[in-house]
Formats: sequence, C-alpha cells, structure tokens
Amino acid sequence: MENKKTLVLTNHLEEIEKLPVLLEQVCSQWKLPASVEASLNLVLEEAVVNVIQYAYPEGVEGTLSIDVEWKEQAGVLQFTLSDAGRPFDPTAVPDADTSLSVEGRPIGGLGIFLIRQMMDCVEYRYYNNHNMLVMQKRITPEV
Amino acid sequence: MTLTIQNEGNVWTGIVAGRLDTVNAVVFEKEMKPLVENADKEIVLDCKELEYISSSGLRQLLTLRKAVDAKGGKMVILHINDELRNIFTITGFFALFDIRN
Repeated sequence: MENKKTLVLTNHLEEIEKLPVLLEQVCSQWKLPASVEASLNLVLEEAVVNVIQYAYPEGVEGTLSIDVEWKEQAGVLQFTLSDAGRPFDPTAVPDADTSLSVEGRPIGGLGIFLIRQMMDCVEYRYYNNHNMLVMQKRITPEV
Repeated sequence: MTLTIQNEGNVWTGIVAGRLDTVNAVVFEKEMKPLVENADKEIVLDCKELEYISSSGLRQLLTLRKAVDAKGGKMVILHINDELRNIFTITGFFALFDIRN
C-alpha cells in the first residue's frame, strides 16, 4: 500500500481549513491514533500560515505543497512543505522565551516554537529554487 | 468559531466555541472588543467548547490579558480541554493566566 499523500494549497489564508480534513484522512487511512490529529493540525497550520503570509510578495499568487508520508517500518510520519517563494529558513528563528511575564511577552513569535516542541525532527533546506521544510513525528500506530 | 458575550454587573463573560485558528482569530479580535473595552472589570473567558487554538488565537488571548493589566481589571480562563492545556503549558501561557476548572 502506498503511504503517501499530497495536498497543494494556494497562498490564501482560508486554505488552512483543508488541514483538519487532510489529517483526519491520514489518521484513519494509516490507522494512526486520532489523539495526534490536534497537535499535527497545529504544527501544519503554523508552518503553512508562515508560507502564506511571508513567502510571496503581496498580491502575487503562489502555491505550496504538503507531502505526507507514513514510514510504517520506522513509525515516522513525515511532512514536507515546499514553496517557490523567497528563501526563508524558519528553523533559524530563535526560540520564543516562554518564561517572560505578561508585560515582557511579545505578541507573536510562537509559531516556530510550537513546531519545534511538537515534532521530533525539523529540517530546512533551499533546493531548486524551493523552500523545503521537512518535519517528522514518531507515532505508535493503533493496534 | 463563535464568541458570545454576556454582562452581569461587574463581570463580562466571553463564551468561545469551536476552532480559534488563524482565520477565525481575525473575527475573534473584532468580536472581543467589548471585553477589551471593559478590561478594567472582571473578564471571564469560558473555553468549555473551545476545541482548538493556534498561535494566532493565543496572541488574541495575550492581547486581552495585556489590556486587563493596563486597565487594572481581572481575567479568568475557564474549562480548557486537555489539548489546550498542553499548548498553554508548552508556550508558558499557563503561568500568564488565571486558569480554573
């Protein structure tokens, strides 16, 4: 059985509504616990919103694709996001300081932090004029 | 996402339900205005039916919290589910808010 899926989105914010649908399909088809859906939804939303808001100049239509692969033997679910926007390495963004008080806490900067916390491995590379963000999560399938 | 606002005396309660994602956070920001305007009073955010939140949603909660601090009011968050509790903990938001069951 082919454990791969691809979803192509345009750079419009409303496109994120397709993410919970994708994850529901992924989890039911590959028998992954539904309990991981919410945190994976969060990770994908943060990564996708980043691309939609910053990769392409304002008013320029662009796309991003999400390749999902379930590596059954290794028990690893992998997402690869790619877009043809301006080169941007989200993994180079410093971690948010979560110990700050209300006054000192900047509004924002939490997206990449959440991705790092929720996933086991996050890697970026710029290849063939494309941003590629590879994110992996180890998952124990349902018996 | 829906936000229902109720007022009783000095207490302003916002009941938020559904998904507070990046798209809905824009709507939430507009609809929470009465809470921000009354941030000198007691603000209660009931999250019993809040299913999901992303960083954009957290950002709105922080904005409200900062308004309450600036105006000298109080703010309580009620009934967050386990998934949200996890996100609040990871981001350090748990320490920033008065969270009760």
